[in-house]
Amino acid sequence: MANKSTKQTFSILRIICSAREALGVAEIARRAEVPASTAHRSMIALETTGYISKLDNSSKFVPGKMTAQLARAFCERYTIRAASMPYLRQITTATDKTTTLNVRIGWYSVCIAIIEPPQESFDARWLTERHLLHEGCASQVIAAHLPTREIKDYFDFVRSQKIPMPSGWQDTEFLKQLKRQKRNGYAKEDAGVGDLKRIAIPIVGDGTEAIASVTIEGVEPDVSAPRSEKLKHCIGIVKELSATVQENASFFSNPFAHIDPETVLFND
Amino acid sequence: MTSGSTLNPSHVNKSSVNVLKVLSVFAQHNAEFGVADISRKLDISKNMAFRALKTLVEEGFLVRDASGSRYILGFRMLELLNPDFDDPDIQTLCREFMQKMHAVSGLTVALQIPVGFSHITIDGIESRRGKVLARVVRGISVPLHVSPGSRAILSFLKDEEIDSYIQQHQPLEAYTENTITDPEKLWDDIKLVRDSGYALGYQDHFLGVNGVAFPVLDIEQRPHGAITVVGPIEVISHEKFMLLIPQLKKIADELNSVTRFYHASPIFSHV
Repeated sequence: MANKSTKQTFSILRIICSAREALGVAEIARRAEVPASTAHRSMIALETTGYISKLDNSSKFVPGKMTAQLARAFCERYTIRAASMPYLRQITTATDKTTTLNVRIGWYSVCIAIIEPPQESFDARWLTERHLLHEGCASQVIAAHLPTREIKDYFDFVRSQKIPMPSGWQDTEFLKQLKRQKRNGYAKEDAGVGDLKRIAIPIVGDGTEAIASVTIEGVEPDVSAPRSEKLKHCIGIVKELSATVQENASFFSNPFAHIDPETVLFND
Repeated sequence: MTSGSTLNPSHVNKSSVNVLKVLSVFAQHNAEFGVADISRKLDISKNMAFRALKTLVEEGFLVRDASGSRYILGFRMLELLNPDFDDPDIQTLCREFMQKMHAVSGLTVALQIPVGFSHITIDGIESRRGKVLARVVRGISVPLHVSPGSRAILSFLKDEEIDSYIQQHQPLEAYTENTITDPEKLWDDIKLVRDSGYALGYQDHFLGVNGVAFPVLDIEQRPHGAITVVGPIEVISHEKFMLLIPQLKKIADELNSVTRFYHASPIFSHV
């Protein structure tokens, strides 16, 4: 078992990393429910090792460079990330829109790469953003390629965690939607932010499972129109990437496939 | 921007520091380690390494790999990246490695970034042996074919970008008698830099100094910038300089295993 002070240190690290703003020692101690002197000792440990840093001209703290580095190192465990970069860039160049890569971890999908167009763009995605497999088109196109028994396991997980499904959805409706997405070779959605739309295309690896998905995000509807030439072009690019993955299936296998998905739970 | 601490380091929680140091070892490309690796890397006992790894597994920051014998980063790591805060800038990422290069060489170390068709120096550590041996002059624009820093950056642009640079800057300006101004010779040097992973100085920017520059690259091998190590020829001969390069290159490789996590900005998009 970890000793109490180390546990407190990690608890404080999580508080600083999940806060919406920089925090001072007193506020951190209050949120961690520990005396200020205890918080202070943990914060020295975190600061000296680069996990938190102090803002200029302030006594408040923010996540340090080590936290960003570790989260990015995690994303790099997926070999598909490095291999997909030229393809994502090709799509961004062709569409002038932000392109992202999602992979599976447990019953979630997580965004591990973002390529933005050179011009300033409005992006609603961020690196390490994660969603359950029924939430959003980037997750759903991965779920659409799961074997039926795994989808059933997923529903059991959602029920056991008391996670609400979208209103009006029954298991059967979700299954129908997944089948439609698999048949079409893509999934689309309104992002719920202004006119922002997304379209997700699966990267199909060994057999028929999707090891990842590529999502194109933008405010213009030209890519998301079903007969769009640009959409066909983007699907073609992702198919090329899928072919590369299929040739080296073991190299691109999920590095966390051995982890029981039921044990992958996030605090947020 | 972040700055110096107001916290009192004499009150540090040492057991936490040890566990955090073990976790930090995993902040590089494809890191996977066993107990013995951690013990060796951090010079701690195997028992201590094992206890730290066990704690990190309990916290979800590490998991065992598929073979069960080694540890890799765990999914709880995802909770540590907060989109409300900016990524560290290239200067912050490079600083610790520049200090290591300075410690190894005793020479002046400078960080250069590409800006359009030039590089500018944005940070540096000056060599001081009684007096400053080579100054770090920030903010001066130097063309991409002049100096090892420039050529380390130029060499990792796309071939068509390099062609475009050469065409737009014909005839290539000479800063000293050693500046490479012949496009064919420049291409030969670019191939050399790509193969070796560093650009040698030929006294092509200033006479009287030996220098070497290492590219700082992203995941697609695009340049964030370059780190140049430089010293006057009276202080370090070419032969002694060459002996230093393997040690400096090792530090540059460590740095690149971190900077690859961050995208380099497109260089010519605003030109």
